This record gives sequence, C-alpha cells and structure tokens, in this order.
Amino acid sequence: MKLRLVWSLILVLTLGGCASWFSASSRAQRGSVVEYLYPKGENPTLSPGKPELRLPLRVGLAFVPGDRYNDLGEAERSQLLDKVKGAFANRPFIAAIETIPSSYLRPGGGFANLEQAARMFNVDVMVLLSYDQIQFNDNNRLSLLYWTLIGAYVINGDQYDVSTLVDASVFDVRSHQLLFRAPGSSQIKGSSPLVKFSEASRMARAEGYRRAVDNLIPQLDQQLESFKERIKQDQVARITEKPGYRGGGEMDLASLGLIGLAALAIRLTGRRRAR
Amino acid sequence: MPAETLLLASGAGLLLVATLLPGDLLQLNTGPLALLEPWRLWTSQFCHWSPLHLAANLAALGGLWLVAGRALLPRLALLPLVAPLLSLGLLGVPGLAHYRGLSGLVAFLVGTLARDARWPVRLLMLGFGLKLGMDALSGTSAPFLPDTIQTTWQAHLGGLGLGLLAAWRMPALAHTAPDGAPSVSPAEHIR
Repeated sequence: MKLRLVWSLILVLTLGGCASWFSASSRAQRGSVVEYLYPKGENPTLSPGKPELRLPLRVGLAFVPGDRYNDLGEAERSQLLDKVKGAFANRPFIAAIETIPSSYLRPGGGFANLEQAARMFNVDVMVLLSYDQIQFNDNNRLSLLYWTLIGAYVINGDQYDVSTLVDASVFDVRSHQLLFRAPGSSQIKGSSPLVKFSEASRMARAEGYRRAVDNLIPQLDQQLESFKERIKQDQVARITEKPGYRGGGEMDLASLGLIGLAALAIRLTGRRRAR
Repeated sequence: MPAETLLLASGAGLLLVATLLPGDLLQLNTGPLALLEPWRLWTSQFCHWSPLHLAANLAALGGLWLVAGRALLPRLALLPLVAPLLSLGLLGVPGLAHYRGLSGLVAFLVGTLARDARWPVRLLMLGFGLKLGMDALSGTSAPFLPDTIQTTWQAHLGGLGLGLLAAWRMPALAHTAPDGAPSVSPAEHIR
C-alpha cells in the first residue's frame, strides 16, 4: 500500500513538473507614451497657439521607458532607432537626428524629463516610440508526443503567436504638442519543440519588433508628408528659419534654357556647315 | 597615368561618393569650425539636397557637353582643383549656414568658354551674366530645390569669376578646335 502511495506521488509530481515546463499561455511587454508623459493619470494641458518649428529641425529619437526586464535590450533598441534615423536623415528640413538611449529617460518622467533629455541632446522635436507586444502560447496535438521525451526535442508541439505594435509620436518639446503620430505593426506565428520554445519565441519577439519598425517607417513618412500639407493648408504649426540659411547651387530653368539654346544653335550651325 | 585622366577620375569619384554618402557628412558648414573638416571643401560642391537638384545640375553639365564637345574634358579635369577655392569663397557669404550643389562648378565651366568665339557661346555668356546680375539684385527662384533651401547665387558668381580667370590665364583654354579638342590640355599646362 505504501509503495503504491509513493509511486502515485512520484507520478503526480512528475506530471506536475512536466506541466510546469510549459510557458505561461501569454506574456506582454509594454512601453506606453501616455504612462511616460502623463504619470499618475495627469490630464494633458491644452496650450493656446500653434507650435513654432524652427527649421532645420534637430530631432531626438527614443523608445519610451517601459517594462524594465523585457526582450528589447539597449543594443537592439539602438539598432531599431538607427533604422528609423537612416530613413529620415537626409531630409533637407532636418539638421540632425539624435538617437537617445533609454537610460536618459525615466519611467513616468513626464514632460520635465523629456525636456531634460531634449536639452541634453540639443533637440527641438522628439519622436517617442511606444510599444505593445503580446505573445500567446498554445500546444498543438503533436505535443502529446512529448511524453516520449525524445518528442520534446524534435516535435514542434508548441506554438507561439506574437503581435507587436510600435507607435511613433512626434512631440514639439517647447509647446508639448503632439505634431503627428504613425503606427507600425507585425504578427509572427511559429512553432518549436518544447526544449527550444523559450529561445524560438524570444527570437520571434525580437523579429516582431524589427518587422513592426519596418512597417512603421513608410507610415511615418506618409504622416510626415501629410503634416507638411497640413502646415501649408491649415497652418497647424508656424515655420520659421533658424539664423543662417541653407543654400544650394542650382541651375534654374533660365540657366538650363540658356545652355540648351546654345547647344541647339551650335548643333544647327554645325549641320549647315557640314552641308 | 596622365594628370588629366587622374583629375577626371577624381572628379567622377567625388560625384559618386557625394551622391552615395549622407549629405550631412559632406555639405559645407560655415562658421568658426568650418575648416576642421577640410574634406567638405571638395565634397560640398558635389553633393546635393535632393535627386531633382542633382538631376538639374547634371542636365546643365550635359548641355555644356553639347556646346563644347570634347573640349569640355580638360575643363572638367579642373573641377577637383577649383572646388575648394569656390568653397573657401562661400565661407564668407553672409547668413549662409550650409551649402550643397554642383552649379558653382557648372558656372566655372561656362566661364572657361569665354574665349570661344562662336556666337551661340557668346550669347550664352551674355545671357548667363545678365541672369546672374538679376539674381543678385532681385533674388532667384529655386524650382529644383526643396522648399526650405535657397539658391546661392554667390556660388555662380564665384564659379563664373574663376572660370573667366582660368580662360584668361590659361592659353590652353583659349581655343576650341572644330571637334572641340584643345591643342594643349590645361592639366598639362598646370604641370
């Protein structure tokens, strides 16, 4: 009787142990721009007047501080920020884009912290990237074969489904006004054997951020163009030039016309002589 | 390798590099620290604000090729030598903070044609001079530049001036043969 009890206990514990191998059915990572800028449920204050943008702009680019222990390490963040920077660096109205490490921003730091960082990096406009990633884990029918132990190494019995949203909010630092925003999203589904599940799903989460940022860049570009149109038509912001203008050596239509006419005349007179 | 070929290759290399690399690294930045990054004296003349800006300047270069033919080659070879002189001159332009563009060098090429006696070239020189005077007096339009960039007519003035000087001081630039080839290459003349 005692032996049977001992065996039953061993069986229950073993099964319980196996069950505990499985990851939680979902996990989420968040960095919210609202929680960063308006901690303790503060309400946004409406400032009268239009934001004044002094061209060329110096732009700061940062992830909002979020969950402390998440998959998005500083090196990975820096790579993603560099990707966004690369896509916008050559715009003539942008003097420079500075990527700001997360360590310069405090969770719940609000606009006071944003202004500190902006002063430190000498930027006029901040692009804050907030993120929301959720991963769902499920077992499929093949997971039954895990009981063979070898199955846990070779059978793709665990599935993950990672949804990522990255949102870029562009703020004028001086007026605290949101100029425009753009979202980017991705969804990655996959499966792996039990023993590799942690690594595979971690890679999928990192890939989810990369794809969401790739998806964000064209949307941000589109919103930027739309914002430029709104400045022209609705005058949503006042544009001024910083002291010192930017010049271009350009052959305008008149100069091109003169050169073109001279070339044409030479060709025509050359032909007449040849006859 | 002849000096002219070397200079032509340098000019083409500068244009290629300046087109491929970020303009921020290559543009001319005026101010007290301007000479701390001396490569900008060369690269700023070859980099552009936008593909349209580059296309307009290359179109002007193509037009000059039709005007001067092969005689343009020795003149083109001078561009890497003239670029820093033009940039140094632009450091003194009041209010100018940053500069990019090839048109100052295009104006230089126009200037080097000063001793070409053919009437279309004479008319081109006259028209170019008048246009420059009007730009200086009343400002200039910039159809091929992005919204926030202004045309720097001083670059055209400096380029034209340097071109006229070269045409006056370098006998090799005095004549263009019927096929456009000068008798002596200016690069040979410099040596």
